[in-house]
Amino acid sequence: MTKRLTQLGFFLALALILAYVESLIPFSFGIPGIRLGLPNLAVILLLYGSRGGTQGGGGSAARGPGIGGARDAFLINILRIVISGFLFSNLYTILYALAGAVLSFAAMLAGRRLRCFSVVGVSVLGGVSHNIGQLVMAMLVTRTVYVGYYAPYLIAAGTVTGAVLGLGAVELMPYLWRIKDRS
Amino acid sequence: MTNRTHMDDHSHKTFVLKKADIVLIAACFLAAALLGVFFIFCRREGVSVRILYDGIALRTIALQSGQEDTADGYYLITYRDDVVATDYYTDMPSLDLPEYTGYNLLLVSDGQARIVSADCRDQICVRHKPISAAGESIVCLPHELVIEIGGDPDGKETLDGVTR
Repeated sequence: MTKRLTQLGFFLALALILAYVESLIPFSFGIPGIRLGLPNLAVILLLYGSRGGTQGGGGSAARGPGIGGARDAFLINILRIVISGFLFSNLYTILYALAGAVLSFAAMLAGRRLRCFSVVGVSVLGGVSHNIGQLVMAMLVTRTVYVGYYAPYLIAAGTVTGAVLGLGAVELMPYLWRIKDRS
Repeated sequence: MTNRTHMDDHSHKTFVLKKADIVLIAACFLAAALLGVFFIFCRREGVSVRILYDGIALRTIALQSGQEDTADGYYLITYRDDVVATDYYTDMPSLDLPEYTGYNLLLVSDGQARIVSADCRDQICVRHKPISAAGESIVCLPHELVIEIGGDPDGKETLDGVTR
């Protein structure tokens, strides 16, 4: 239990630090809503660290670490959004981030369950659906459909950032599992 | 991709992009490109600038000359509690506004609209590129403000209307 708590805390801290790093990067293309999505890295890593699971979606995680899987990933996902929202931005941002994160989590979970995607594919699904979720929320908040004009940019940006993040997760995973196996 | 055979046994398969990944990435770019082409195809120069607060139109400004409402110039949108006001200036107004809780300064000129200055936290609206085509918009989320370009009065817009 203590070990589980510690490891979950570690992932939450990782997500928050990534959110902080991202808040430091001035990242603007004249199109609002395009972000790197770094904190999602922690969520993806957790999603693929299935508890004792033998079947990772990308053929990874032959031996599962103590934590991970859909439940833990979802928990950390929601917590990091609420905490980083209060730390680095405002309530409005939390609303948007939650809309994006819930949709993106559902898409990543479905993508993982389908088993035909690697981590990169799952991450792309997450990136694109995150942006679509935020766009839909923007339509609801501003009560206009005109923000739909951002859709092409946001889909393309979500694909690129998702792929980059997925490759990053692929690189990180072996190291992470090695540390965990030892502990 | 990097060859990491020296890593432990978990790693060897994860470095391979699966076929489904490539299909997915290609499909996403294709979808974005098709949507983009669709929007470009539908692009029409706008004829008016609408200032909306909380989804309600505050003011409509003619984007081209020869229309009745005042056209080019600065439009200062100020907020105090739930009271929103828009004021027209021919020259850049002073932005020392202690009596208001917030403001956005809109500039309409040469058939384009852009936010010149705002005291919102994220400044996304200020960094937004100038807009001129029917249906384009600048959104300031912290202030719940939308600046949007209206198209033909004949109602031939592709994405028409305001959802409720």
